[in-house]
Amino acid sequence: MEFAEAISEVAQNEERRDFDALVERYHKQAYNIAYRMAGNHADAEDLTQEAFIRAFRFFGQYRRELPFDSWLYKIMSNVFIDKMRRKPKAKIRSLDQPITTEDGEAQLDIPDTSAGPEEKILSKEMDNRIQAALNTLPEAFRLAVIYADIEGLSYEEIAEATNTNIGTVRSRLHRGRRLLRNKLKSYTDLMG
Amino acid sequence: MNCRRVLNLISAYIDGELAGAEMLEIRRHLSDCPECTEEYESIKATKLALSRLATVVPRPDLAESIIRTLDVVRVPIYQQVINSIVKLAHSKLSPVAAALAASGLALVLLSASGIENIDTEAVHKVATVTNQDLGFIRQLNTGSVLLPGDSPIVVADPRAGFENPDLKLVSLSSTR
Repeated sequence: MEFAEAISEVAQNEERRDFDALVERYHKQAYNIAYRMAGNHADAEDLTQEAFIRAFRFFGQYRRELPFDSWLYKIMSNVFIDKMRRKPKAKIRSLDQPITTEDGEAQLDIPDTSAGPEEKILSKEMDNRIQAALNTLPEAFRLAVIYADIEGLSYEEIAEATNTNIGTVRSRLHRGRRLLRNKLKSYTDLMG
Repeated sequence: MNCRRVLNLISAYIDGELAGAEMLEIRRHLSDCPECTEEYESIKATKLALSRLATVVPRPDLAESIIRTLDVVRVPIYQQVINSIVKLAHSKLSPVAAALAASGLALVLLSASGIENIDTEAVHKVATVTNQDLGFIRQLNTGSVLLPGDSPIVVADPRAGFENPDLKLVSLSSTR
C-alpha cells in the first residue's frame, strides 16, 4: 500500500511539473485573450487564474496529443461565461457626465494621454475604442470575434472552443462584426 | 446569388470559410454590386482593426502567482478517478461513450460512501466562508473549486444540494 502511494505521489509530482511548465508557457497568451474578453486588467487576471485552476483540476482528462491552447480556450470560454452570468450588470455612464458624490457633483478624472508620439497615441486611442466596442457585444459574439480575429482560429476551432457548431459560429461572427463595425464606424470615418 | 444571401455570407467569405463555388459566386456578385462591396470593405476593415490590436501583457509575476495558488488546490480523489477513467475511455472508446462512462462513474462515486469520511475538524481549520461566499457557492456545480478572495479552497458537499440554504461545506483535503 505504501509503495502504491509512493508511486502515485511520484506520478502526481510529475503531472504537477508538467502543468507548471504549461502555465509558464501559455499564461501570456491566455491573459491577452482574457483581457479582450473581460475588458480590464483585474478581471483578466482573475479569469486567467481561474481558467488555469480549472484546467489543473481536469488535467488528468487532458489528452496530451492535442494542443494545450485549444483545450485552454474551451475552459476559458466556460469560465468567462460563468463569470459574466454571476456578474451584476454594469451601469453605462458617459465619461463627460458629472458624477454625484457626497460633496456635490464632480467630473471624472481621465488620464491625459497627450504626451508622447502622436502615432502611438492614435494607436492606443484606437485600441481603447475597439476594446470599449468589444465590451458592449453579447458574450457569445464577443468570444467568436476574439477567437477569429485576434487569435486567428478557424470556424471549426471556434466551434470546439465555444462548444457549439460551425453554423452558429458563422452567424455569431457575422452579427458580432456588424455590431462592432457599426460602433466603430463614426470613429473610423473621423479618422479618415 | 442575391444581395441578401451575399450579405449573410460576407464574413465567412472574408474568412475563406465557404465552399469554392460559393466563394466564386460571391466574388462575381461583388464585382457588380457597389452596396455589397461597401459592406464587404467595412467588415474587412473591422476584422483588420481587431487583428492589429496590441498584445496585452500581464504583470511579470502572474505565472508565479498562479503556480503558488495551485499549491493549495487539492484535486479530490473522486475527481482524480474520473479523470483517469475519462482518459482511458478516450483512448479506447468513442467520445460519446467516454462521456457517458464518465458521467455514470461520477454519479456512482458521488453517491458512494467514499466521501463520508469527512474530517470536520479539518473543515473548521481551513474553511472560512462568509454569507457572501455561500451565495457564490450556490451558483456553482457540485465539486467546483472555489477561490473566494484569499479564503481557503473549499468544495460544496455534493450531498447538501444547492437549493439548501444551510449548505454544508467540506474541504477538498478532507476527502484524501
